Amino acid sequence: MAEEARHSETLLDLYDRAMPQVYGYLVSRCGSAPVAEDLTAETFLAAVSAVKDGGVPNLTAAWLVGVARHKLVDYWRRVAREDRKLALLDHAGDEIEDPWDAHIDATRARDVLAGLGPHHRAALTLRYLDGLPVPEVAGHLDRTVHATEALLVRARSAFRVAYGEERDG
Amino acid sequence: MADPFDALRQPVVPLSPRPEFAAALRARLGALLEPPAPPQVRSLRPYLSVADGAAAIEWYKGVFGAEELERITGPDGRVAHCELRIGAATFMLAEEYLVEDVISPTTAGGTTAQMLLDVTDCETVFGRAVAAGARVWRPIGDTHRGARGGKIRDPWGHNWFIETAPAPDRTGDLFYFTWRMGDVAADSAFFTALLGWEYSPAHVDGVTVTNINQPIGLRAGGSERIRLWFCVTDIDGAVGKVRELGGQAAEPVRNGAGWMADCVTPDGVEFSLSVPAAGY
Repeated sequence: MAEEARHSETLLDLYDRAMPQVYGYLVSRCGSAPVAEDLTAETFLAAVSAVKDGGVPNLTAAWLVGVARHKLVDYWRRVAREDRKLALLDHAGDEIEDPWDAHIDATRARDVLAGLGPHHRAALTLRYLDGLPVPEVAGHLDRTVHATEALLVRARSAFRVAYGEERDG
Repeated sequence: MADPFDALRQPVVPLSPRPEFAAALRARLGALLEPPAPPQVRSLRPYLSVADGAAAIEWYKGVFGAEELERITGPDGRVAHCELRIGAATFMLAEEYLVEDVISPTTAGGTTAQMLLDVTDCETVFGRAVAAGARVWRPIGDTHRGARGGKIRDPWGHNWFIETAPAPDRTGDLFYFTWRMGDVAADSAFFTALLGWEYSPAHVDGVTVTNINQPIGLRAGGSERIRLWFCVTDIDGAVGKVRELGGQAAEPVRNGAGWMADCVTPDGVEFSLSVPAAGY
């Protein structure tokens, strides 16, 4: 009980410091302020539950960003389920990865990412924007490492197609 | 070979959301993280064991003015359960229940838990108890807690301190308020229909609401829409104090509810003071 009280105080104390990091992370990854607000709320509410259950050994802003990442991936999963036609993109482009020498413009890349299907967007965001190693990406996406690597191949492929189209478009 | 996709790497850049959003979420979290309220005790009720349930019930009704709320009698005629109300308190009684080691003082030859009954007129209740066969342990006198009372043993072996505690200090408490209505008959009917209010005639033109937590008067006349009355213990002293503080006070008058004085604060706010009569 005393442990819980300490954590409750700490979560509210942490709130002002952690909020810009959580919100900043979410808004940069999903590109929408309203969605980022919803996911920010989900993140902090999940933190309250975890604190009350007594299962937070290391209550930090970094941990909260990790929770935010989970909520982001859940959000993209929800979007994917609602948007069935994008399931087609998942099967398109089962190509062998070619080395791609092009330089990627980060600003344009954000626009391209926003236009990808949620599965691809999630995979590329976690692997490249967040810089997570593939096994961690697999954990977040609830897939095997092998399936995740295959997804990343298709995601990069879809990205290149869309990036090229944008350039040519 | 470097992966061109590494150019996408984007460490977290802190960004504050809308202040209203952040504040609302903070409030929500605060409410969820509040420790739950500690349990509040609502009542504590004695459950007496007596040798003769039916006779004991009649005794408590006669001496304490108890009202019987519920009685359960077994097939053999024994009183299995009875709930009694005396004033603001309720208690229960039953005949012995040996299955759970509950014996009456008669069987035990003594008693363990004792009761303290705080009544407004301990002399009368004490007298009734003695007349009905109670044994006096201590006659009526001053108690060390500043109350007045005595102690008896009832015919069923239970000990009762019968006391009148000093009246709680109500100084400054809201005693009453009056509310000027356009049409007392119509408005009082409205509130009866809406809230179940019941009335008794008031001392001046209007009615007093009798069945809510704070007595209020509905009035037809009067110079202000709402007037508040506050309790004091000494009406002359209080009136003097009002004038000393730069306010105004009318001379106290007495009515059935006690002593009253209409006053005004130094900056013109009207109010009234009262020493409530007994029972008010």
